[in-house]
Amino acid sequence: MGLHLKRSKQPARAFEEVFAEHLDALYRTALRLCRGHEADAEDLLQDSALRSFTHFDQLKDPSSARAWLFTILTRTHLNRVRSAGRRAEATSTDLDERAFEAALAEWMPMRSPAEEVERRQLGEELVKALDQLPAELRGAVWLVDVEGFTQREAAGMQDVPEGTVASRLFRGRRQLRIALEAAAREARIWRNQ
Amino acid sequence: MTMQCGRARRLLWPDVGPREATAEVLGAREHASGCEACQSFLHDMLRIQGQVGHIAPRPTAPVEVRDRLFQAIARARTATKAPAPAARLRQILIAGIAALLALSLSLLGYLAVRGGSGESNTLGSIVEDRLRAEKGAGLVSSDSLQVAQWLAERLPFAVQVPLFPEARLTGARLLVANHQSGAVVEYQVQGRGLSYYVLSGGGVGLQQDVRLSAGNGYRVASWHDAGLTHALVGILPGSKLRELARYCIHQMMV
Repeated sequence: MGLHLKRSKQPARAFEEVFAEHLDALYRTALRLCRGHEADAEDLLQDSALRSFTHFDQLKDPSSARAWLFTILTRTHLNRVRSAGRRAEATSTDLDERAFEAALAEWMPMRSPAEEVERRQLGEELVKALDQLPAELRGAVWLVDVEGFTQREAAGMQDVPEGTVASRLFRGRRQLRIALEAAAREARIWRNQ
Repeated sequence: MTMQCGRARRLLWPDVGPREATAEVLGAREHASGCEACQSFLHDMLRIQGQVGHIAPRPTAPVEVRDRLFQAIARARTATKAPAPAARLRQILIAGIAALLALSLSLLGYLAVRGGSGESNTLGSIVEDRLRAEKGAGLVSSDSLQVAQWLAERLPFAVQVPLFPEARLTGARLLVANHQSGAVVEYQVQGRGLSYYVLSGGGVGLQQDVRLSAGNGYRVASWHDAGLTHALVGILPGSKLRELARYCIHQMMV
């Protein structure tokens, strides 16, 4: 509702208001995409902000501003990772449908009740595990599981089919599970000592 | 059986919205209702998703990052702003007034040479004050964006409003000194006033040497870059002023 009013203001001012509204979420996403490197995250965010500002007139539906800003952030990041290989960042090879189904079939049920572990400790382990994921998997997990975008929205942001996002989510969650279970095990050992 | 589980899990994969109830999807549902491993899988996916969403740290953007981002946007806005016809007309008018005032200043300068330097200073100050009033008295604001925009609308060069730790931005005003137009951005640091001056005229290229000087109880840290003179003026220790100047230069380079 407010966004429609904002659009009637000067475009530059309207952009700043929209950007400010989503800045914290964009910042933490940039931080995770850059594996916790604050300077890189700020650089990525600034690059994305300037691109968004330049193309703000292309945002036709103000209610989709959040997804639009995240799309620019995500694609800017992926372009950086893919181009020139100037960051030593792993990228993933996506699974085809058969391989994805085979991987799904191999899933063993989880046992560790990770809820028992201190949230703070688990948070640190999760961040470490997230940062070790290849860029595409990390992006998919963060966008869907943390920022709450749908799989379809994340697919649009990463410019891949929905099935690819599903496969990336599965593989990302599979790796995170290992970290969460290890943290839970360790916490139990400490508690029982 | 193994592939059947894989196919069922693929078809029932969570977070894809409503599914069309095709024969295959119905078959997958039937399979999952009798397969403990598939039920566990679907439960685990939602559980991991919930845990990740719950425990992931959500830091907020630090103030200095926020400020630097908005400064970058403000610079982009100033750089891309094409003058509208009305703005062009205003620019022509301002240029005309400036030319008229420059002529008046020259005339006053000539009269001053003839009439003595004391009178020259007084008349020069009067004209400069008039010129200052012509451009608007000042702005009281703690919003760096608003200050930058206000200055951008009144000066022929862009002024980056620096942000200092422990300093509170209080506003800005215009300055005309020695026939040069400029900006003064005002801050409060530890209960004392701090002024940041930017004047047209200065060395070419970035000269990071900060010079410290003092007068009438005030300390001044000054430096030049690309045709502008910068100065920080306040009743602060020289080391503190130099530190703030370095901070300022760093922000400009970023």
